[in-house]
Amino acid sequence: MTPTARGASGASELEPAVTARLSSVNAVFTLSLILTQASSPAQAMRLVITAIPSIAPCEKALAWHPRRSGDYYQRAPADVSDALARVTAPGRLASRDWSSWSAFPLTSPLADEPVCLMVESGDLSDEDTFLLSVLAQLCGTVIAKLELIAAERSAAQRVAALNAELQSTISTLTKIMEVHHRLNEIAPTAGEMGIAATLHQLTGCGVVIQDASGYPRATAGRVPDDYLAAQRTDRRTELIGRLRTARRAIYDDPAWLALANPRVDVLGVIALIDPARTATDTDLAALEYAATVLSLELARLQSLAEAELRSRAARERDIAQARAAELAASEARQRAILEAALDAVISIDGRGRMTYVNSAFEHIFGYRADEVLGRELAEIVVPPALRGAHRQGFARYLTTGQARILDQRIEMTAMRADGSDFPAEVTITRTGPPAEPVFTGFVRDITQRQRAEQELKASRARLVTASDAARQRVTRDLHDGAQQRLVTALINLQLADQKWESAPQRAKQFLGLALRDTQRGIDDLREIAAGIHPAILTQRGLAAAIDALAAQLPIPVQTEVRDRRLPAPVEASVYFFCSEALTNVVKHARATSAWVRVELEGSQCAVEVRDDGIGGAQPRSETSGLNGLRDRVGALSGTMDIISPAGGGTVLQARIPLP
Amino acid sequence: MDPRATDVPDLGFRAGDHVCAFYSGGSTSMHDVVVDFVSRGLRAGDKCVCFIDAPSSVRDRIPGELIPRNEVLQFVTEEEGYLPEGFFSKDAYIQNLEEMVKRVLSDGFERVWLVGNVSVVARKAVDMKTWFTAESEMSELAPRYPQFIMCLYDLDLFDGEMVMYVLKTHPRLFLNGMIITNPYYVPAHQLPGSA
Repeated sequence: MTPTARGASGASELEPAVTARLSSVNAVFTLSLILTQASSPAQAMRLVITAIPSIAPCEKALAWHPRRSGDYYQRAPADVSDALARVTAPGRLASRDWSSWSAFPLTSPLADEPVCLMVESGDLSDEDTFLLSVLAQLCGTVIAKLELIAAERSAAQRVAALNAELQSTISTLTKIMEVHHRLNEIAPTAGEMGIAATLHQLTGCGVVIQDASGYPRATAGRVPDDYLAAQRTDRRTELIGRLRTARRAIYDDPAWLALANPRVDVLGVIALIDPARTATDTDLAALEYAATVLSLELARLQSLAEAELRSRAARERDIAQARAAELAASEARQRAILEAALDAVISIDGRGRMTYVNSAFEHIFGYRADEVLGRELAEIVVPPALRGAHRQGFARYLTTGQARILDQRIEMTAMRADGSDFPAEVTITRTGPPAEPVFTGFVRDITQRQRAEQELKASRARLVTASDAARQRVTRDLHDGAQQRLVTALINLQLADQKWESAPQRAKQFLGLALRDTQRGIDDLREIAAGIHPAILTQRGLAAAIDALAAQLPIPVQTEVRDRRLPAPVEASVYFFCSEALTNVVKHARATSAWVRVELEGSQCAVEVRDDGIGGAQPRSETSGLNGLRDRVGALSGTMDIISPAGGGTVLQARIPLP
Repeated sequence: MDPRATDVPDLGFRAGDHVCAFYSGGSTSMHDVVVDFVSRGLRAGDKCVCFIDAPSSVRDRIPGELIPRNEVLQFVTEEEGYLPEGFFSKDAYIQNLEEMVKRVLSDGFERVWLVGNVSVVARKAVDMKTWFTAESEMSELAPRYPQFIMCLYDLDLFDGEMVMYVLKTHPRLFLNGMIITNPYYVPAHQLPGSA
């Protein structure tokens, strides 16, 4: 059976009134089904109030609330609001002016002043009132459900929005964490270049890292050439001021900029090239964190550099101080050495000007240092006759480098302040850098040495001469004395032998003569031997030997000799010194008396031979007796003085050091 | 022709159905209903005709395998479908609809699924009495052919009074995914003013 057939047959069997009421019931029922399709309370209410005339006989339908208005109802007129608020069940309003209006609460009348479906009509049947009550309740239910759905949907939307926001936040945080991770990882190993490269990889933008003055330190990606050009100072200062104030990345066409260390010293600026301004929040977060990492990296590098500088400065200061101290000590030592030196020390520069002299120079040459410093060496110490050669040699060395006198000991003539010459031993050495040569000379006055050498040579010659003379004297004495005696004795012995048989008496006389001559020969030999080294000196010492010596002289000699043995060379020298001196007294002084005194004074043996003769004694030649005495004493490093005023006697004094 | 032989029991449709459906919340809700309706028809191997504007919003959501040939799915704008002459003519409308159904069936299709959004009626201020007369007559005509007709009404455009007319003129009601018998339906000849 089709709906059409069923509807048609049902209507034909029912009374029209029943059919009409049934239709209204169906209308309410079906409309309630449609209301479930409504998307909002306002739409549901609009459907209901516009459908009511199709369901019940009425003039008008509205939705009222006694106190307020909403999205699907209006606030009731003031003169009916109280009556509406007192509604406890569907029905006519208890107000004379509104008696044509019936109110149908959407929800339970017990609820606090519910929204009411208002219907203006004439008399409503009980059935109509019931249907409208049901419709109002259904409408209220649908609206409650829609409000609940709307609330749930709103809550769901809020949750979804929160989820989306949370997801976005998580995504952002994840990206930022990646940014942090990558920048933290790259900075310590790759430094500024790593930071620039990583930021470029993260953002896709060109990156420039500049120092505080704007000079590029690192770049990555595409960077316009003109962006790397130097920026005006005032423009740079203004830009950094803006960055300091903003405390975050700012846009300065064509780049986003962030400051490294914005609160303390500005260490640098990092620029994200973005002419189209397409950088995302994540990109800018990466930029700002890169700036933070850059701050740390630059601060670390600065700290390292400062530490290195401090360390290097400390080392250099220590080294400099040590070198200065060492140099000062060296100079002090050198100066002390030079000042204490007996030799004159002279330094000159490459022009031959004197730059230093020591104390010995002043003593030897007779100048004060301030008189000669800055003056030419040649005019001060070189005799005029030698100056030309000196200057030529100096110039030749400076020109050719060929030196004849450097670093060797030479003897030359030097000139004192008073113009006198003296022999000098000179050693010249070169110091100073090649371009600024300094020459230092060591000058020794060898006047005394040369004199000593000459005396030594003369002494040696005298010794040789004296030795030859002594040998000749011994030869002569042997020939003239002992030899003759012994020959005579031999002859007498031969005569005695010849007469031994024939003339025994004569032979006896010859033997007597032979014995006499032999005895005299022995005496002569003893005397000769005493002149070489007296036996008494060896056997009994210096006092006995000098006493024996004095006893042989024709004038009285008073001796004062300590009876103490001295080393043999000293005793011999003292003995012969006294012997020679006393011989000279007898030969030349015409003295009546003489005195000999030998004493020990400290580590020396002091000898004095004095007479009361005519005085005026002095060495007449290199081979004179007095020089022979000096040579003998000098051979033992001793000294001898002669005091012999005319008419005042003569005193010879000798001092011989004991070994 | 026995329309019952072409029923599609699992869908709840019966051949010759003239069903009204209501939607609210904009065209998306309407498109959801159309996509579901057309997909069912295509899956059954039937011809589907849609009187809707912006057909791509529906066609793009239909799986391609359900459209082996273009002629299985036909789109007609609301004005072309309901106001082909620029105004609404009840008789012309019913005649055109009947001829179209016959033509489809002659093309070899066993059934026709026809769905139309009638918002153009409200937008073009078509006389409601004439319109619902046509709807009532369609309810009389529909059972004669193996067809399923669904009329879509936008609750944002039609008020309660119009809804009551819709309910009076459609014997079956598509509600919450089900097709139910409309107890408020009034056969055409019982409507006030009917001949």
